[in-house]
Amino acid sequence: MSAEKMFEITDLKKYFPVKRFLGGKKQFVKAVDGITMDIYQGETFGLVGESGCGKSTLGRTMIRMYDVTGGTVKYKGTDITHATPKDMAQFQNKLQIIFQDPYSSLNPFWNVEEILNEPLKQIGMPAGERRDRIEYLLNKVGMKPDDMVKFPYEFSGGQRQRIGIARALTVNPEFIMCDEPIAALDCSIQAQVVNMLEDLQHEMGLTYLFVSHDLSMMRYISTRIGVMYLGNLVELTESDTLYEHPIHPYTRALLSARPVADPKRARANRRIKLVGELPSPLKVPSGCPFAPRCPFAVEACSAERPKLRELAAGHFVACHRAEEIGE
Amino acid sequence: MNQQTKQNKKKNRNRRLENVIYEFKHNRQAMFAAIYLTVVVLISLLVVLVPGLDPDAIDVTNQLQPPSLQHWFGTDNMGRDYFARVLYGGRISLVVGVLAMLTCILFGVIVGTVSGYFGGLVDSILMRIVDVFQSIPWIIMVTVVGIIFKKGLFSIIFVIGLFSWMPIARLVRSEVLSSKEREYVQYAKFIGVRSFTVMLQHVLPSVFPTIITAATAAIANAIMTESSLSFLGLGIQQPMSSWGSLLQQAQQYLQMAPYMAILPGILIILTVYSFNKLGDVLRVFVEPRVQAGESDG
Repeated sequence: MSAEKMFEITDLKKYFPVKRFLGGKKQFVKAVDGITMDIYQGETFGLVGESGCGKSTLGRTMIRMYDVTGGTVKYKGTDITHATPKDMAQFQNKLQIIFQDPYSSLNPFWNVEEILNEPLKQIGMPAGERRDRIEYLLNKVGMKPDDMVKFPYEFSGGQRQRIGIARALTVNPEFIMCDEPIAALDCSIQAQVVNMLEDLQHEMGLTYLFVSHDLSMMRYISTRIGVMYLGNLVELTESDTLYEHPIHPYTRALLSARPVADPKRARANRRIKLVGELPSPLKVPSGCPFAPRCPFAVEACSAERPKLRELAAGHFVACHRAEEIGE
Repeated sequence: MNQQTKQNKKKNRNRRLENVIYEFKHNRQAMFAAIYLTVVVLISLLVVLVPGLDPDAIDVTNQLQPPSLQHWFGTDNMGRDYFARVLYGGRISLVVGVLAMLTCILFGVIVGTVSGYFGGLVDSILMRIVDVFQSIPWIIMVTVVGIIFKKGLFSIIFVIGLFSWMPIARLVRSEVLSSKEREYVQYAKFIGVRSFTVMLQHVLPSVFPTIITAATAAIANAIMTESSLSFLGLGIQQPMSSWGSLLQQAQQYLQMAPYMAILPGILIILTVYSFNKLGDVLRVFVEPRVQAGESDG
């Protein structure tokens, strides 16, 4: 891993206002609630967590698809926290995104050529060169140049996702935010797409932020992994360390819920069952967000929110009792 | 390379066209609607070229004659050839229908798209205007406007257009609200495509099926509205005729000459029906996902 920082994120917050009928008290969904992390050049940063914990929001806020509520985002040293769309224009060909749903991410009224043309037009590539570029890209993602005239409805989910990837690659990006790109695909296609993403990464020197809730796939693809719970980062470390020595109680519970293919090992694997429900993101507990469900919770946990601390080199945990639990 | 692009484009268009042709072949009602409308439009366009067919020629000796070989649709109370009057009336009805449709689609689509796309304050203001317009009974407004403006063809078109765009604006708005959340729209915004271009290229096409259906329904509605206005005496003024005004004059002679009401009545029904049917089929053309042979819905 090269040590050059691509993204520096400090105390990033993204709140969504909730409309109340007849102007009641304004409430916010705290989708991302004070996250600090860095993403290094060339790595695949994995974000895991259950649905609705703010993984996608964090990624989208980072690349400024959404406005930032608080904190700062720096891209390669440039503060882009409050960059206007005009300022962002210079990053258009650096930051790209691949979406989860291959059905709603492509305009059904456009054929593949028109879809891939859009970002090229946006960076001002002359019309004469676009076609060659598109042919090259379709080859890259394992499709035929003939597919250019087809409409999205003529493709399977996996093929559409390839088109989505080709679209992200059109402008030679440096960073791609992969927003659960494999969640809507079936297993064999998932593997194909993931392998393709890895090949492309080596070939084009890409950096990925990979959002997923597929824990096994995450270990395979990610360099480092961040675990999110209710808009907070609870643990962040290298991928292997996380799977072998998880510290945060939530990470442990999450990992124990992962299906194991070997029945003997599956039986030996003690499942940690969490009590209670995931709190509403409208009312995040004031202390540690995980405290109400945590088997190790003490009084201090619900009083003060734990900060992300570096426990071992490169292993960050947000838990008051991390040292005791970590034994 | 350019040639290939052209070929590709042709291919796409052909596929859409094929779908429509398939739809027509397998849907007899649609077939009928298409043929009927073609005939009506052609006749309306070409009727001026036929010599000796004068809708205004009065012949007092031949009043209220029933249909015969000489006067196919009979004559009216002033002895005018009713066939000529019905044909010329169709011209007016169609012109009113199409132009009023264009007016209300224009208003409806602009208001609906802007309102749905930008949301917030713009949305609130525009939608309240829609509410105000919709809360006033149009027949009263039409009467008032009819007093201010000179009675005539264009004031009728204007009035119908002005008071029938609100439901279209609502429809378009709700369609825009859902389509602007789609990821390809968000992506376009993200890579910095201008709002106007996003609306035009991404949002509007997904509203297109709705617009097409609404447009054909709007033609049908406008023809009906014009008929009712004329029936009330607020519409087309003598000696000009439209199907609606013919109906209105026919009511005085219903017992003596029922054909005077029945003939334009049937034509109104068939035309309105055909436009509605055509709208269903046109959706196949604009929406590549609705494949040929698939029932709409």
